[in-house]
Amino acid sequence: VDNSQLVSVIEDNFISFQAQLKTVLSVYHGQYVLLRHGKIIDYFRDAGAAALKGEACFPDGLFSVQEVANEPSSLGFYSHAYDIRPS
Amino acid sequence: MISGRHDGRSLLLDVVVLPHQPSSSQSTSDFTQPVLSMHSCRALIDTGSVVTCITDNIIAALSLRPYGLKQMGNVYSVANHKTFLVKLGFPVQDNGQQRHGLHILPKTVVAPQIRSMDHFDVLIGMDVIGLGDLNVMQTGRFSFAFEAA
Repeated sequence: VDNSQLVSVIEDNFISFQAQLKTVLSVYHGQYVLLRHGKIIDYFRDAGAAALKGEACFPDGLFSVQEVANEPSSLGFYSHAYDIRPS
Repeated sequence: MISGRHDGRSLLLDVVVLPHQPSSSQSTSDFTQPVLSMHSCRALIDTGSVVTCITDNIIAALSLRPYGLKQMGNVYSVANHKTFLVKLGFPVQDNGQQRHGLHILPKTVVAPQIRSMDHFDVLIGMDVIGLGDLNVMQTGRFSFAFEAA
């Protein structure tokens, strides 16, 4: 999979998922979704299981896995003392 | 049981990072050489962090594939960080200290990417700490026990 294409797919899926989040959050909070072309394929309790399903169903690798969550995560001390953004 | 010493300021330990599964681009023969797809590094235990994170250099060393995005609060605002799926392994010794092994956590860790740091490669947050029993002792030692370790 071309990395730039994959990142683009991940970003597009993320935007689509954010738009759908309100409708699924209360039922699936904390679970993981497998996404393809912006659509939710299935829900999983384990992110690894979601990825394995994606690998099996989509050999082109153009899918993503997102946690059903609506709050940003905190790194505590490191979030505030250091610039953690990837270089 | 994982055990070691801390310096009273931070708790660092050895950890091995593995892709959550062999890359689909790997040939079958690669599975006989797992050492090629794991990376030994230093991890910082951080109870203030909700999630476990891995740094740029680990991602590059293992050629990890991103799987998603996670919103992370940082010193400036909130940013989307790519997430990677990994397994974590901890070097362990038996009670007699004669045999060494690697306890690999069964849980797949969803690890956001963070900038490379000087003194650690993995930041172990509460998603992993909560899987075991962490004991930080005033003697300068610590232990980290998992049920199956």
